[in-house]
Amino acid sequence: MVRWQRFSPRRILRSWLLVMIIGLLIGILIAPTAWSATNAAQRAGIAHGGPTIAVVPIDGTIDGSNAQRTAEALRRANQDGSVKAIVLLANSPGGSAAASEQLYLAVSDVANETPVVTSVDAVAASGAYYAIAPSDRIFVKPSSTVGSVGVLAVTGPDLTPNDVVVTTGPNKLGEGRRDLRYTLESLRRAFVGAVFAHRGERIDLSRATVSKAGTYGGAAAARNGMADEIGGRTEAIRHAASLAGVKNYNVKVYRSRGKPVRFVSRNAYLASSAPEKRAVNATYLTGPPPVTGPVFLMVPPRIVTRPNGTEAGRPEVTALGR
Amino acid sequence: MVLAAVVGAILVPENAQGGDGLDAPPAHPEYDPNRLDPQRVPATGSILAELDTKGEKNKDILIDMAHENRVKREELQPLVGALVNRGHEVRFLTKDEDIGGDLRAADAFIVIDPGKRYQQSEVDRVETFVSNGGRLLIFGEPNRKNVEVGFGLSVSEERSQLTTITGRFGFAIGTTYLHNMEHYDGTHEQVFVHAPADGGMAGIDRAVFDTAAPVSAPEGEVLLRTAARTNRSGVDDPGRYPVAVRDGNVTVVGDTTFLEPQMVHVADNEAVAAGLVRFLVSGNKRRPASPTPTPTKNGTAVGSGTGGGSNMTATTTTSVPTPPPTRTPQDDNYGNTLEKE
Repeated sequence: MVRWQRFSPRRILRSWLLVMIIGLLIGILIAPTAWSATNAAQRAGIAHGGPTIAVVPIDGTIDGSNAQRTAEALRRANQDGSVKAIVLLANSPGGSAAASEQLYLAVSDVANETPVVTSVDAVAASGAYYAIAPSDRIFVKPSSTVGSVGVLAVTGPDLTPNDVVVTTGPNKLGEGRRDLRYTLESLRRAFVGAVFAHRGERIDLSRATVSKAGTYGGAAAARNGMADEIGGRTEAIRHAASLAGVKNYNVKVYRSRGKPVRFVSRNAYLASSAPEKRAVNATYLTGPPPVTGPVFLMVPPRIVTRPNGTEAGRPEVTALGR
Repeated sequence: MVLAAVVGAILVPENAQGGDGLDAPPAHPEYDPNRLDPQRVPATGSILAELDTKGEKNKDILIDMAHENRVKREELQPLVGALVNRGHEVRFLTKDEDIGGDLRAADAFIVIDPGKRYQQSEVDRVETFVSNGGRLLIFGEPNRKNVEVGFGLSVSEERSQLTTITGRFGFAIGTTYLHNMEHYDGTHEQVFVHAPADGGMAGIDRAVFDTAAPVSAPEGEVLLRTAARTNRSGVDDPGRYPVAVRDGNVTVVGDTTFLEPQMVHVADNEAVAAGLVRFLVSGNKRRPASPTPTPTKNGTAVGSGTGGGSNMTATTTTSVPTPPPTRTPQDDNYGNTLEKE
């Protein structure tokens, strides 16, 4: 009888009521502090687990290493559960054809899963334009250059049978002019086809015109559909967020570290915000003579040419690109 | 009920639950190999080997190599071989020889893309040669940029030097190359060219000219012209440009590449070469009976070599102007069956 009286309903009810009152008081006391901290974290973009817009630079001359690092950055961004959209910061005149195609494939695969928006700095031409073609939207500045949809091959002369280089088949001495040109045509079809597969409904140019490999300034590109809109990085990030359906978000740059970014294009070099960058000679793309070609490049033509008679090492010969 | 559902799932065949991925569509349909791999224009034929020049024999063909001509002798092998194999003689003019004397003995003269301009005295001799019935065949190329691989690519320009000689006969060759982004063999510079149905090379379906120059002659007959929507480099003016034109005893062609051994069998290039061979050997060159005194003009001996800087000596010509020969059906027939385009 005595034990039953100690756990009476009235006593139990009073205990729970006391606990609730204490909890309420604690909540009232700490709520302002918690609310303030949450807002600050959002403004600083360091809120753990919040939606994120990833920024991935496509910077410098596209070679195998650059393409691999960029593709890896894309993969990390795409696998981050907080990343809701990706913005590509493009500032490259292209580079190796094979490396450009590899980068295009990486971007295309990511764009199938995540909104991708591009912001072009100085240039996204040839191989770099190839890479950004799968973007949902391309922003350019008036001074940006895009286009140059085509392939350039640097090759040496074919050999004829001789006593020094002996082969098992004639094409080991050289593929011949016609075979080389058919190969180039195949690369052109792949490039132009990819651009039109992703942007065909927006480009107001024929395939033949695009195949001329012309380059376009920002305003012209926005008009003819090679780009979508005049704007900078901020506009690109906002648009990416809108595609992802997020209003409050973090912005995180995914950049591989450790190696300086190489630039053959002086124009792109000057515009780059890469923490480590260096300008390199055009021979990085063509190689010193004799040419062990063919070398298939996706770059605007003036990247690798210079007027005859100028000396190597002078500024005008290191990078005459756009 | 639950046990029945589990047993049923186990018994359903595996392939009805979804494929194993082998029949999945390609990840990148824009890279369909059937669409990327271009169809090659055939490179076969034996037209030159089987060429019949209708009994013309023992013609003397002179090929100019005296004006820094941008051609190698081995690149002319198909043309030279076709001539030699039919009993004709082929000679090469070098810069230390007498153009006048050599032309006097020749029935046809071939000029290929000279890098050095013809002097007026030389052009005079060529004009006299043509007036006497000699056949003149000129091959031209557009201005080009010579590229060398050094630290980057080093570029220098080479300009065509045909103006003085082509202009004398009313011809002009463009300085920019032709290209077509829709109808080509390989890349845009290898344009398709076709023969007009009523022209001297009628029957040629399509040949391939590589980095060709347009040719014009107000009084000439167009033998070959490009496919539609061909452009001159740097000019937005699509059209069908003449690339081979004939006016009497003179024919001018805006490409030499199609004659080279690795190109002559492509498409109908051989037929074009065969037609040019017939042109060369079907003329009626009149040779002076004996040397005559050098005619004068304004007190100055014509062709006296006063043009300066030339090793060429005066040639002996008749003083009475000879009218250009009338064209005969034999001259007009390049040996191809007339067909409607």
